[in-house]
Amino acid sequence: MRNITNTFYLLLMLAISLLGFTSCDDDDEGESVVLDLVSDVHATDDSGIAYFDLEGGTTLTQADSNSTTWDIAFNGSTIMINGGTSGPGEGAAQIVEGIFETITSAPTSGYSVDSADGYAIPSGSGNGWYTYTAMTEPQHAILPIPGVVIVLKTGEGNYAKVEIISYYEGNPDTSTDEFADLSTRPSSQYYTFQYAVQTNGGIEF
Amino acid sequence: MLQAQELSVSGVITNQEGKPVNYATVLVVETKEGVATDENGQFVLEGLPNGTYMLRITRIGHKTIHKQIEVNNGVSSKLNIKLEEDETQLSEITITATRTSRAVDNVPLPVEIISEEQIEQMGSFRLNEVLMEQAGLQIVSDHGTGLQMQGLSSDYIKILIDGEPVIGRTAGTLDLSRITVNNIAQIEIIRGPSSSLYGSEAMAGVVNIITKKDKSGFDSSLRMRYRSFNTFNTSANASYSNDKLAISMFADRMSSDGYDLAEETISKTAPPYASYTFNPKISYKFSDKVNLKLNARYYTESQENTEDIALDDGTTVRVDDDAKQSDWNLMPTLNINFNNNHRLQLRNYTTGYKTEETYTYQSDGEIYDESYFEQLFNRTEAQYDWYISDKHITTLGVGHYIETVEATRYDDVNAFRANYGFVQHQWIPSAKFNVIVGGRFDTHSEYKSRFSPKIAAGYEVNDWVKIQASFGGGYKAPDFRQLLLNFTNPTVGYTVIGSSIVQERIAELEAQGLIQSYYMNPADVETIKAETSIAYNFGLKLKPISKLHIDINAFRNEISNLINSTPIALKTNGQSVYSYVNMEEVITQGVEIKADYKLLDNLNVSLGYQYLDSRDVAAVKEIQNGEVYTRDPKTNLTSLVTMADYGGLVNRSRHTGNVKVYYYNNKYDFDLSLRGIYRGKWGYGDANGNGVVDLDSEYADGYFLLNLAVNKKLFGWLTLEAGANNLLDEVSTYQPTVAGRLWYGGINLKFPNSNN
Repeated sequence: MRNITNTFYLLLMLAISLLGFTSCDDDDEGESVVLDLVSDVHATDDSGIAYFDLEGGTTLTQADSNSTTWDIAFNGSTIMINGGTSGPGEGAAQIVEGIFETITSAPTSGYSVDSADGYAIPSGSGNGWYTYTAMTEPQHAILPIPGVVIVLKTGEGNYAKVEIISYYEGNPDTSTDEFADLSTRPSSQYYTFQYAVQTNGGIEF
Repeated sequence: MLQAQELSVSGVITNQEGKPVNYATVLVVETKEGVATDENGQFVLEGLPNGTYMLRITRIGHKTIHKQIEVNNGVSSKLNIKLEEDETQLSEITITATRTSRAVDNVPLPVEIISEEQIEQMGSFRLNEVLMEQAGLQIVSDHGTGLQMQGLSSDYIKILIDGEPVIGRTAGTLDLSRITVNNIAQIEIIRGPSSSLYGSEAMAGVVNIITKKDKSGFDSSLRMRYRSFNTFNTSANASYSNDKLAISMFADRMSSDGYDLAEETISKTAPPYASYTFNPKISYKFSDKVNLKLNARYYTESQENTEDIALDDGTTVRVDDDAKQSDWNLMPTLNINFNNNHRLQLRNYTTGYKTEETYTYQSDGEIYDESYFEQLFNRTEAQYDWYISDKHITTLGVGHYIETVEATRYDDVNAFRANYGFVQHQWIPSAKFNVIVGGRFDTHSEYKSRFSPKIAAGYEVNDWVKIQASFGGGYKAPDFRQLLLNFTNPTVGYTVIGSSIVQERIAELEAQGLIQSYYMNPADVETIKAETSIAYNFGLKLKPISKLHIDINAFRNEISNLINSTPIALKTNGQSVYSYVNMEEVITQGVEIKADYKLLDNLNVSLGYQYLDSRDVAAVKEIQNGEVYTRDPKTNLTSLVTMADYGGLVNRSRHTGNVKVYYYNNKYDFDLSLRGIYRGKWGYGDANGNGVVDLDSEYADGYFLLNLAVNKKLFGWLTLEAGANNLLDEVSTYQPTVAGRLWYGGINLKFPNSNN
């Protein structure tokens, strides 16, 4: 039940932000923005990597990894962007701090690509998008760092913003005993995230 | 005047029971000359010409009396004066607050005294157990059982034994469980920065443990106690003292099977251990003016544990952990009282602290890891006190110390040298008003010289209201670890480098191809400066009715240049290189209230409470600028952290307090104490990665401990003791010393003194 409520909240927030956006923006840029909440993106094939197309809103597999269709990929707790060493696309990314809804335009510079020296979104606890709780409650959990919004260029070169919301199946309440107990905690590597992508080539969301 | 006409007037001062009263002041009102009585209550006034004089006799805790005497040719007076005790004036003496003996009531600083009697009534075994029951003091477990005072941690509190600093800290914490309470005469706690007298580390305050003085004649005692978890504590004391010589030996043994709060792991929360303390003392009085004391201490502890260590390949190995630590000191002190107005004290203090830890594989007994740490400290100090008059006392001091560390984690034998001088003036213009001004200047081989000032004043508004205020500067020197550590964790692979050697070590790592990238330019890592603070204390002492005492103290500490570790580079193994930098500014402020009410002659009730606000100045600024975010764990929605959500510094409880009841039964000669100690919830860390304590899950639950002790006296020399600590059986995984109910029982034998 709680998970459904969480998803309801998020949709409500999205609806409010959409309303806010359309009401105060009277040119037609808004119609080219794809805004969505995606639940439980999870790798389904042996590669263990889930590829996602933001413009199309679909999860892809490794079969599509060599195309520019996918934009963001999830490999365990590592996030890859379609560019540099990770793919053939124009993808690059950076972390912008803020509340998802209030980030209304993408920065014009400061993007990195995945490379042999490291990913555009650095891996490791506290370095990129997540924190590993280790011995603090809930123990041994991967939690998205609040205020971290990934702003990226998609494989096709559009600007997008992504906020990771949960790393666990069903976007669970992380304050429950059920979540704290490792034997009853939902499976990991199920990404719930909200995103917006501007398909008209502009930087406004 | 002719010499022949000058005679001496002598006398003895006793209390109502006829016991001699020492340290009473006998003042000749006309000449303003005075002397103090000795141990036997005796005094001699020399060189008084013929005439009639008024003597004023004062003694803390007694009513002042006036007595008229006549000095006639050829007749010398032998006086016998009785002093009456005065309940309202009863006050303890502190040596720590000003480095001179002063009545606590007349020192305008927040001073607290815990007496031998109170410690015995509580049934405590170690120093941490006594201190945790005092309002405003907190015990925090971090690499040992450390103290927190005015919201500042163990690093910033100087612990002294008989005025000399105890060394041997692990990650800044001085483990209070190393110190037995069985030979303590009193504990003096001075809150607020005391660097003006004690130098580095005395930023939050000072705790001085005064060991027992020898009684005259042969004296001996034996105390044996048992407590849950198979804990045994035995201590013995034997002493002999006459007019010139005093010699004593104290020994204490404590052992325990330890306990485990996390049974899923093989490693015990509190491992089994055995420890010994020896404290021999000798003093000799060469004359009335010169005496020499020699105190020594030796402490040794060995501890055993078993641990499972995870290896890189995912397997675990079981190892036995064998840890030993010891400390020792030698403290000769020469006191010279040139006359009643001039006193010189020469002290030398040599102390050492050593730890050795060995991990061996359980499978084959081979060594997995071995480490040691050895610290030596020697200090030479001279202190000169000049009692200029009733109204002025000046203290001057100079000293030098040298400190060395040799350890597995350090490259060489490293030495620090320092010199210092301090001055203090106490001005007592009237019985209602007194002022202390002082300062200390420290020079050090490794960092910039430092001046620590202090000013304090007290004023008696009327017979039930006293106000006092003090301002002071405190500092804490960077320690060996922060300057010179060179450590790479053998299992995880991160590296920590002290700030003095960071450039060269980073260059070496780079040359070895171990550096992937830099978070900051290593050339920008400056040698760290001392941490400094300024602090304000403002207090009220109220005695609205004779049986009720209320003490209120408000405090604020502002600390700059707080030293913290920070990552400076990423290694090719994915781990970071850390060093130490001066970063943060921190504020702790609050108010402490103590109320003591004598309900009946034999029933005393007291209440204590501390409100504490602690904050990281940079974090507060970020929150106010709307730059700190949080995620609601229930809905996973992100929002801004507000100041109302901000939980301050970790390990600080906003609310702490205690309630104590002491009862004495005259008829059956037993006493009973029941003490409740409350610690409110406290933040223990950051779970959501925003760097501040804001979520409910980032707090540890508060607890309430109820401690009971009963002492029954038999035959005057035998006391039976029993009780329980933590009667309500509270357990806190975030405070491992709170580990369930502990029963104890024992006997305390004080053999009749041979003089009686």
